[in-house]
Amino acid sequence: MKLGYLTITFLSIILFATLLVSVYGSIYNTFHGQALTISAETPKVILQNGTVGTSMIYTNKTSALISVENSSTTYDYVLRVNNTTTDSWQIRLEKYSDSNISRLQNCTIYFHNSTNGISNQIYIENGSYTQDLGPWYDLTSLATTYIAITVDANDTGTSYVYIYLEILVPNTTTHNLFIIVFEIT
Amino acid sequence: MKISTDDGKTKRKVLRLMCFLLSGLLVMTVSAAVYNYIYLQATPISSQIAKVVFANGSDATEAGTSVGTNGTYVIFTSLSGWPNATRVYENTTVIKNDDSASDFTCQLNRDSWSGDAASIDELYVKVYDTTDTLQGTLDVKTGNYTTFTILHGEVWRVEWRIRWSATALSTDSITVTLELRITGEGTDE
Repeated sequence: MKLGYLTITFLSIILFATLLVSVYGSIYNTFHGQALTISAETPKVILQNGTVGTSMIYTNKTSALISVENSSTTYDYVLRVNNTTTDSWQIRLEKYSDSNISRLQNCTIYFHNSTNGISNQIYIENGSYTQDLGPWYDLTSLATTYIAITVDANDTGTSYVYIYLEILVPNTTTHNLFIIVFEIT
Repeated sequence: MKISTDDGKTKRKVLRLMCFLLSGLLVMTVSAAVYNYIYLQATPISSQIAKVVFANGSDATEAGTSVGTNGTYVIFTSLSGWPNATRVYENTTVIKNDDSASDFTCQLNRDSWSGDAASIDELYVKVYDTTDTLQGTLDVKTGNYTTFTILHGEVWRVEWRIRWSATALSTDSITVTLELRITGEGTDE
């Protein structure tokens, strides 16, 4: 008798579960987006070596490592940014990471050229940022902009400041990001 | 009347054969399907205006954005990038929820991709809400989908983030098709 009840109960559970599955459904609409095609193209803005400090330019000239020493002096041309086309751009620097910067008493990274003058982009004072995102700076047709750095450290060691060079298509929010690493010994 | 032994054998053979055929016929008959017809009728199947639609974003010109009729399809024909650098199109298209009361859950999937995929380091599609808060990220390389709920009356932007590898060639390209699945729209009609 007990076996009979158990069998009925078991079958009821299976039936109930099956019914639950049967009544489940969903209604949805499907839209499509297609990117046709996403292409790789030759860089229109490139990085080139400066005349002071040590600079390493990587493949395709879209990223760089800059090495400078603590000297309380200005490295006025560690890297240059070249617009190889007649397109106009706007550029700025943005810090995205760092290490061991507490020893940096005064460090400024800035742009300059003969047309647009000086634009301070990144400031570090007493081991802290007072500015980690610079203002937009025009990079006009076939123009060159120079990157400079001043360094004053109060301790030995090596500091790294990791920066994006943002290259903006004017009047849009389309931009390119180059990685530039500053190594300060 | 006397029946010869040969005739008797022949008759038995015929009888056996008939029994065999009859059995076969019976098997055929009972193995046939028995079924009834019942009908489903959909009348009418109507065309509705979509409540969640695509529209041009502020980077539409740069991205080559073209939105299809009724806003239910979008194509990008000018996306590109430089090797070893990240290209960001912050606002290629927007997703609008035109409904005044209902929020809708959306799932963004990679439907397909082809081409020089090995030369791509990063390819993300990100969805931001009206306060510029990230609501979903689709990693096109891995195909990991993202799910988000777009609130009624809101317009959210879609960002593409592309990074070609350092060794990518200027002839490299890929084609990507994404699918946006919107759940619940049409259930309250």
